[in-house]
Amino acid sequence: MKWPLLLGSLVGVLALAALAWAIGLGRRDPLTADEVAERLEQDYGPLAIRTLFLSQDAKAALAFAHDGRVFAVKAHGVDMASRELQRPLLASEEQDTLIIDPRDRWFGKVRLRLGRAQLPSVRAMLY
Amino acid sequence: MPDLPNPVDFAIPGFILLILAEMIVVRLRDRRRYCPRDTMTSLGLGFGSTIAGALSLGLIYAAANWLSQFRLVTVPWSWWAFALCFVLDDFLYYVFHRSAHRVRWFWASHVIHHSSQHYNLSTALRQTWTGFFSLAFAFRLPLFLIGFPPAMVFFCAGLNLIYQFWIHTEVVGRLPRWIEAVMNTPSHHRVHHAVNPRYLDKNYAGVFIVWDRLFGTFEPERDDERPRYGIVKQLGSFNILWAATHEWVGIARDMWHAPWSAKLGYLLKEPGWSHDGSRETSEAIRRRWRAANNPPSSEPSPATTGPDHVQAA
Repeated sequence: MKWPLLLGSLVGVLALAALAWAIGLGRRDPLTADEVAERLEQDYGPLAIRTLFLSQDAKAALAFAHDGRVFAVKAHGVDMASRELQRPLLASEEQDTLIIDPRDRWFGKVRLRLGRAQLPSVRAMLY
Repeated sequence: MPDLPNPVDFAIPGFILLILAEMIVVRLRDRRRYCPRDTMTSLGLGFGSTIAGALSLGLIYAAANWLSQFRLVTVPWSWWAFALCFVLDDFLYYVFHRSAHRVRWFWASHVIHHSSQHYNLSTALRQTWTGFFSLAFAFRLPLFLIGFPPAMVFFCAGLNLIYQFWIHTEVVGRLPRWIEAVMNTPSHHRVHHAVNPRYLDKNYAGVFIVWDRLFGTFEPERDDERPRYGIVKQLGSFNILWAATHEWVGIARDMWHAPWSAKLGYLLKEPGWSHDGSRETSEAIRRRWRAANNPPSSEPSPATTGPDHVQAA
């Protein structure tokens, strides 16, 4: 193993990562309902979304399709990632935040900040 | 026998400078094309891959030298032998790469390279840690049996790897037609990294795109369909260890839960295969997409855009 090369590569890697942050790469706009619906259509289509709940912080969404499928979406870096949820759905609440568990440890839980007025309607669709 | 250096060692400063230049261009054009956390994951995987490669290199080199005893001919050290070796090595790369997408055992290693949802020069460095376990080296063995000196083969393989670095970018559009006809280019390779059903499992070439054109796996990039990058089921995580091992874990889980008659299928069949048909292979995804986009004339397409009802708080 060539240690100077390895050390030089490591320094290069860290310098590039630091530079990416320093010059402000990767800033994303908040998620929008249309953007989320379009991505779900691309990933799981053909798909007709019936109702879509967008988190107040625009970093997550929960989508209900006409065919009964449910999808959790989260902002992932400057992009987004989604999971089709399996039934029974696993969800819990913390004040005005709905926490969806897609049963994928590394994907993580999806947290939707919803208004108190919205929680009952989400509950009605979830369970 | 000449002792050739590893050309990749000399290319590393160039890789770093080109990434630096691409970052500056992206910052000026569209800063969303780079994501610092994604870049850190890619670079970390690249660094780990260097270590993993160094650990297995000795074994591979020993195997190559041992196999060379049984060579059919002795290929001389000459310019035409280098050229021939480079072309044959690129063909075997095509075979390896196609297999890496069609056999889940091989995909388990290669998926690392595809797991970024971005497509930039840092993605090129997102390389496998487990290539040795997926027998990636085995695809080059015929060259040693033909009689190419191992040092020549490894040198050409290094050049092949260096060539493939610069095509991982959205900064370069399409090149002149004659280049696009013969060489693998950023445009062709964007298609390869895309998850759009039209683009899935296409353009396996390393240096020469002619292999794809010859064997029916070529798909051109279209102006009306921008590639979306990553894998069909996006990782949704920047964890380096998970990116490096998730498919192996998936195979182990599937084999554990599968009936005995189906266990090997989860290792040897294509990604997305399942014994009960509950998952989709890339071909199944393409069929579903074609059916939705070209429905029989009597049936309207079920596809819609946008939700009926949005509840934003």
